[in-house]
Amino acid sequence: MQSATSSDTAASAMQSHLLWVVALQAEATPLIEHYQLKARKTRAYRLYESTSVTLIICGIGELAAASATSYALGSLPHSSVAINIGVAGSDHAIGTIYHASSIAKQTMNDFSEHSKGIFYPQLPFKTDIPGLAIKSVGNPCTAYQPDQCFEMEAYGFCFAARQFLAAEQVQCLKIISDNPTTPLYKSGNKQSLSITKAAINDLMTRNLVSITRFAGQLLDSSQTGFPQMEQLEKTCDRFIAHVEKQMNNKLHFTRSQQEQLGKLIRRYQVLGKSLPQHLQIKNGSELISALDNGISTLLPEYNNNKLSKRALKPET
Amino acid sequence: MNDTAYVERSIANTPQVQAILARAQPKNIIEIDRFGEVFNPKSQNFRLQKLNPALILAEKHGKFVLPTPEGYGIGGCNNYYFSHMMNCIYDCRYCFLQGMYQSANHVVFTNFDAFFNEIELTCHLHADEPVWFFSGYDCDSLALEPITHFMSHCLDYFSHSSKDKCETNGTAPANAYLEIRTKSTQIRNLLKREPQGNCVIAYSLSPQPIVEAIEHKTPSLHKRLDALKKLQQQGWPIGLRFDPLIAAANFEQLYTDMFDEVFDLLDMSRIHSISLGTFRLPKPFFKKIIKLYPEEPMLAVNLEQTTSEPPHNNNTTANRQSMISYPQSLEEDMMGFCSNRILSAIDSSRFFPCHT
Repeated sequence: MQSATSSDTAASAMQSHLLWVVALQAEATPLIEHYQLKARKTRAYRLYESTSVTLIICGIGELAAASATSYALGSLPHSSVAINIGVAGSDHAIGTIYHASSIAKQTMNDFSEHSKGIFYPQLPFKTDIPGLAIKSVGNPCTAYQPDQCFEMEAYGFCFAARQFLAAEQVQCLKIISDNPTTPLYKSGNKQSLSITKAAINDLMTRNLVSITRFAGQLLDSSQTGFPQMEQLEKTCDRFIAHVEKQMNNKLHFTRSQQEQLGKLIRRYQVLGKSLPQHLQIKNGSELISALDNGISTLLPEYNNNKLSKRALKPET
Repeated sequence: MNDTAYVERSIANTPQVQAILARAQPKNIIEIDRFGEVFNPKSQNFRLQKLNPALILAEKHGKFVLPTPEGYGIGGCNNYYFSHMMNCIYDCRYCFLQGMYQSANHVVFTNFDAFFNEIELTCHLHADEPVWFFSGYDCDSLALEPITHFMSHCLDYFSHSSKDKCETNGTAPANAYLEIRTKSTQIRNLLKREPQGNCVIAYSLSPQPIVEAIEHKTPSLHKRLDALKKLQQQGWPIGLRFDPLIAAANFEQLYTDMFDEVFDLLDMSRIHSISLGTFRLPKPFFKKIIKLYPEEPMLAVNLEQTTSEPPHNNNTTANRQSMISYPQSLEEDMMGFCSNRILSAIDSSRFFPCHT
């Protein structure tokens, strides 16, 4: 088992979450072991999780992937990342891992969000894992090609995940499991698969370092891409409670005033100014005016190699 | 630099595209039908994309040359801008580009000659008057020059010297003038050329502490000044663009230090022009940028709403919109302080303040 769990650390630091969507238990097992995920019973899916990682086994096919992805992402924060991983067929060496450079489906007659029905997952980081076009097919396919791989879930996964997350947070990894030399079916017999559960498990395990590094990089990027303003709401609530205690009265704010208050408190935080502790106010409107007056002349101070903040005028 | 390139299928085999790809050497080349497939989808995170932007090679259609917004210019009556790129390799926190596009990818339009054809047509509209063309509005003019070579072609076109002429481009009309606005120090190709009197190389300058805090990934003030000095020594007309001025508690000290350094280093008698303006953004762009960077101090100061020209004005009456800028008194203080300092170094005929 790999000991490196940078993705776990990164995820918990920003209360973000890593979601794995996989079709088969054999694809899932190495990840479940690596992240030490615990099974959670749900009505529809086999789901495994820790505080910062969730893995859902969606089953085979586009619709199965789409519905499982929606189910899982519906309760995760917007700074989460989602990765669909699985095996695929292509004219490349068995065991090679690729990230999706584009994801198309075999027929474009239904559910295309995109004008051309093609997704272009863009990586917010540099990786050694090469890119390859993915074609999601409705049935297993053995028309192996060098410029793309065939699989059955990526399009549905991507379509659903992009309802919840930005394009860069939604990625696919595929490991080549069958090719012209080792085709999907033994002797062309569609009843006889050449790929075993053990072989899939082995393909996943052999690529686990690359896979988990990729996930860690994606989570790290997501942390950079989403500003850490989660303290704002707490500060806002604490401040109002403090003022109300001083007034010995409850303050009421319209929706617009709530927004103004949020913006003002953000500005105080960003400019490094403490919120006033003693205010002579009668209502919410006066509180907003007082906060506005307290910050209206504040400007940042720029010095070499650092940025500090101070008031232009002394506080009164 | 860009490890992924998206290329429009229809131009993938053109010499221009092949040459750019050979210089860029992306690891992944992905063919697409139109660049909008990658550039325009809504579910993109600009801030995330900025971490690892892709290169998009596309063919431009429609208008190639547009009138500049009101107040944008250096003394000419006829001012136009063009953009061979969309987006910038730099990451300046005040830049309207952050609020303008869904994507942070670098789009390069490769049908260079089409720009020159429209420049020629535009010059004919003002046959007896100088016409200024500004490059570096939706991008930095020089930052990606080692890969695109656009400016090299452009300078060939604007050159009236047979030595610099490119076989295919033709020649810009005699009333055509060019400003190449940049923060980049990619001037090797400029220094190999004869200076062109109708082409001004204009650098955006800010005090070094502001460069460090806000103008991410850009060359330092010192490096920009070094490039300016070399260009001036070679005889290129150079311009200085102190725009946007950034409000700061130590504003006077910051800008005094910078002006001292600039005025000491450069021959001010041979400066082509200086322009000046404070930070301002169209309100919709500001709203988008503040969502992307709520932790940015320069966006947390007191800002007010005014009505002014947007960056892209195709119709001067219909497109007036709300701008976000500093309170008037603060802006006047900043502009006044810098104007006085600049006018101590050059005469007013070469000074072009832009008031919001």
